[in-house]
Amino acid sequence: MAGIDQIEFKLVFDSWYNPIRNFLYYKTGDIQSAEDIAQDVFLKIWEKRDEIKKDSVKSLLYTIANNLFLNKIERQKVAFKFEQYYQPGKTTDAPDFDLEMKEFDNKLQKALADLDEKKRTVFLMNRIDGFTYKEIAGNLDITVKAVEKRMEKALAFLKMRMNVNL
Amino acid sequence: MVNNINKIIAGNGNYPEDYQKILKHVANYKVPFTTTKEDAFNNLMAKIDSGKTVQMNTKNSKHRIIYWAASVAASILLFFGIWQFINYMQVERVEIAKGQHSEYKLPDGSLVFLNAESKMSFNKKNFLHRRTLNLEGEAFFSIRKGSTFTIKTKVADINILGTSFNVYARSEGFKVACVTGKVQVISGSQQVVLTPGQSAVVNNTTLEKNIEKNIETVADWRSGEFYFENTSLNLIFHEIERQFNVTFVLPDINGKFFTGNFNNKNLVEALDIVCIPMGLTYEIGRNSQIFIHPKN
Repeated sequence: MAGIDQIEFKLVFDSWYNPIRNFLYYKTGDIQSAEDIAQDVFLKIWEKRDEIKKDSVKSLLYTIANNLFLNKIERQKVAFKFEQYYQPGKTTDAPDFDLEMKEFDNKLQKALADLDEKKRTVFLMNRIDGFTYKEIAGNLDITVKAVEKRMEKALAFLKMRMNVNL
Repeated sequence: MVNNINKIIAGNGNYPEDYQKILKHVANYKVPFTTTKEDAFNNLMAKIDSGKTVQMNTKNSKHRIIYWAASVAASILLFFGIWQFINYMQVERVEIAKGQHSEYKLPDGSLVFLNAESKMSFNKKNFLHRRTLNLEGEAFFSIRKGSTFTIKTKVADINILGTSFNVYARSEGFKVACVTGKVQVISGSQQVVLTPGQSAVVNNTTLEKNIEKNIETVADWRSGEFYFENTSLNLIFHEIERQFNVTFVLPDINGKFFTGNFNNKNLVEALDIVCIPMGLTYEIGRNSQIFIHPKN
């Protein structure tokens, strides 16, 4: 049966708003754009709710998000402002360690910003949202093999960048 | 190389410390946000209600005022959105599946007997005040005395002036039969008032008033008895589909009419009652499919 009703729409929104917003943040590095586009993604889903098949909502969400991202964003320098769930230095009393962590963090966020957008998106979906490779492959309509490749290249790039002094 | 790194990420395998440090650090990141999920949903509902999408460019300072004005507008719309959503949550929906009947008591004490494959909805909050409900399918109403009671269907609105009556509002046709009291039926600019024993049907787009010969039996479907007089055979088979939750594969039976009655207790009996006089045979297949053939 095609179509989702309003209750189902709310359920879809509740389970997928954060992952879609995050996905757009990984791509844009701009939370305002990510939130704006995320809203438009769900608006599109709402408009098409009578035609949508329930089990295809997930990959449809990511497809729409990607298309809107491609159409809307003027390519600009990506800059991340990831926050930490807990401050790594808080458990120790060593101020040197704190400073070191801060530098590491700054460097890593810059490296992430310079990472190719597709690899970065897959990498962060796995690391931050905790999606498995299989789930990422399903969401983005790519093979698990492709996910593995992107993960590998992302990590290799980040390691390379963390080891050089810029 | 691929397998190696993905083993590292999966957490099994020997890995250099620098990889591990990056992976752990990134896993501790949280995405910043300016709007909570709940607010985002309310904003979305407001946008849906406004019926148009406002495109905003926050980066261009020339548009700051527009952005500010849009924010104010969005806040106002947000209230409408929440209001609409609350209203939506206030709606009671009753849906009866094939092969089932149900009796439903409305908040004002009026009774509704819903036939198989029928839907009814009304607003719980203002029902006592407005006494209005939507119906798709067939139902018998016994309305408590009081202010006007309105039933909205796809074809016509029915205003009840205190009474009992049957409504048939399906894709195959529309018919209201008045048993006691008075019923007013409004379809577009046409209207008729029914007194006991009268019925209203919509033929193409014309609303007609008839004498209902079978007024005593019009609501007997409630006890599982179905009476038909000179009724299109297609419609009879649809009713059997609804009552027994089966599907027919039919030959061309357009232009054939049936008079008689069956009950919803015994499928084979109902099939015999309809098929034998009409010169048809039936064959019960798998998945509740029934094939109807003309008798050679």
